[in-house]
Amino acid sequence: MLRRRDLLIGATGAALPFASYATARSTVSVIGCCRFTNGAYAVALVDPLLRLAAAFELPERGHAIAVAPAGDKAVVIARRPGRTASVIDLREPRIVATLHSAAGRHFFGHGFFSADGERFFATENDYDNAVGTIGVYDVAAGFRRTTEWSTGGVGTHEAMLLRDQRTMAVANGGIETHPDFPREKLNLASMRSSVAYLSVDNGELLDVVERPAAFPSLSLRHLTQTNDGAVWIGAQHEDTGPAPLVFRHRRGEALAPVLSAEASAELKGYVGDIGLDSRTGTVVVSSPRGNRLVHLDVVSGAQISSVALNDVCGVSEGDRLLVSTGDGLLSDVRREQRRFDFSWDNHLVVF
Amino acid sequence: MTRALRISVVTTLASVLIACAPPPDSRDEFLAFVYREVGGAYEHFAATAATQQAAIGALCESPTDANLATARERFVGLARAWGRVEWLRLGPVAHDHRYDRLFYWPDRGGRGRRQLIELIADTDARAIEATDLKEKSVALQGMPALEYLLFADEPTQAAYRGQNACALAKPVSDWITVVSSDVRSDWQSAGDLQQAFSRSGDPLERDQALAAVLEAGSAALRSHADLKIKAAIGTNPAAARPGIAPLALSGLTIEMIDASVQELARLFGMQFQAVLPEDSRYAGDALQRELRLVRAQLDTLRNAGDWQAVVRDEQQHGRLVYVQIPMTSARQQLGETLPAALGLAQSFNAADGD
Repeated sequence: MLRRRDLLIGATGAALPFASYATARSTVSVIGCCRFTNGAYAVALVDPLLRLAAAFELPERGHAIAVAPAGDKAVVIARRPGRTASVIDLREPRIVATLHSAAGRHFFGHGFFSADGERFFATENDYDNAVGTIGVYDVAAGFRRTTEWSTGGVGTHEAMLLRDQRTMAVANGGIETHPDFPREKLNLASMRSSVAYLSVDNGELLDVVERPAAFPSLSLRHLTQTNDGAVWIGAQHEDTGPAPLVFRHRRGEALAPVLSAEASAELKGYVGDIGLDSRTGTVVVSSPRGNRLVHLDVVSGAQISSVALNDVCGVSEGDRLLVSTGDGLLSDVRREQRRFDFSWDNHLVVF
Repeated sequence: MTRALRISVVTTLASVLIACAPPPDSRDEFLAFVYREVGGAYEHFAATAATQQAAIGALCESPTDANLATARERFVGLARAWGRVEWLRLGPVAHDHRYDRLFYWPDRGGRGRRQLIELIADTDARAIEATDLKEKSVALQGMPALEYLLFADEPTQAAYRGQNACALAKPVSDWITVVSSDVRSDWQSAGDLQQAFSRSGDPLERDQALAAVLEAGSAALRSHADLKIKAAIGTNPAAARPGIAPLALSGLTIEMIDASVQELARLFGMQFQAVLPEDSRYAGDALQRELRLVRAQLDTLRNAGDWQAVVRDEQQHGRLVYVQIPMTSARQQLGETLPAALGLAQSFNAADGD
């Protein structure tokens, strides 16, 4: 049972400034990272009616959230070069464990569970060797890190489990970073971004496709998969000038741009998130720098709409697609919406 | 209240409000000022690069100690000239990785140095022309590479006497001249700041450009405090790694940072103050106060000796710790307080996404 104290006091014991939303609710269906007005970073849990159910302060700024298939737990992963991931028991809810990255590794902000929920996979950086890795964790053993796999690239960002449940797609952003110089991009002139496919069973590198040669400064970063099996990729451009920012890919083929360089101009070189809206058959792309939310048809790739939305970034997946903004809006872009007294951070998940 | 009194009160209030508000075109004037000043700084940088190029040419023609000393002296001027423009990573300098081509840093693991040593050992390096460098690693192209070729240890200096190091210094300095000249030309041809900052051809709106200028200044101060100083000096002199700072080999780290801070203080001085609403001018004053504190410390550090020795010295190490405080405060003024005072939207996800 959720207690009022759990709502007012974060997991680390620090008071959080959201008493006005502290109504106890037991059902959680939306989770997103956020920043409160006092600068504290937290994770917010929201009920199906978009009311705040709980929030917990995080040891450092969070990025994305992975929910276990059974819906009983979630992991909030720190953004790069963070070294912590917080495990939430969603039945209570409360933070039950804080994972720390292995020596010489930091988290990249994304992760996912295996289909059976027995393993958790996190994108990580072997920073001294500038190698992107997937850290593999045994969930039943208290998230013990059992091994790691190379992703065949640098600056690994998002990784996701594909529908066959045996393959993961991994976006290697191509950008080298090192904790000695936090968040500095160390290799922009020589970056080589790619999407890799790995076996979930043993980490075997099955396939790698690089960004188009004409756009060497593209960083492929965020992923979704449509029902026909195609992987869609949202990119960021690390140079001036126009570049295509949304691609679609099937293994064995080249990356196919969905939005041309010209059509991507309003996204200001930056896609923040990408998600499949199953109900409308569209892929939704956000650009906080362009203040744009773009809907693309999953079959033709045609642009259905482009909506102005200030600082929009988080895009969920599935039958109930929600988007979140830096000025506190959580919305389905149709009729349901609620504004919170905090900034929603880059990603959110609906389950 | 009589009608006459009401009118008088309203008129007085309106006068007060008008007196408090900055003139409507002060933002345009400030952006035009920044555009002109940055253009002047790029002009100076390109001219200094050409002077350096001439000195390297003379050194390669006649590899004497005197010519080496002159070339090194010119490099000091180049470091300060770069310091004046290095705060801005937007516009023509961001195109085609020109910023990295001019000054690739941080160079984690010293890949530039490694590649230079390999090239010096390679007799084919004699054939390298400036334009060939464009296709090579940026670590070989800019000022840190030239610094190594001019200030490296004795065996490398010996290479000047007719060997490959000079054959590399010449194309590197030629290439710095080419890139700095391109940046200067593109900046001038943009016509104004909004167009210079454009990514897709459409000029930025006035307030977007203003916000970008403040953010760039703030980011530069963050880089000075957190990356150039804090990362290099560690928690104490014994834990310091002075060599990872930019221009550590030539000992010009503080010189370059000082030139940068001096430029920021100038750009965000009187002209900027005029942009601020009267009730926020204290924040502009506070920024100047912090920058003065920074400069006073940097001035002492510049005169305290070689960068490597300064970092290892207990007292100067403490000064390097201290100088980060006003730097960070100035960064917060530029990145948070002043944009808020100017009503510039500070988007959370757009500003620092991933």
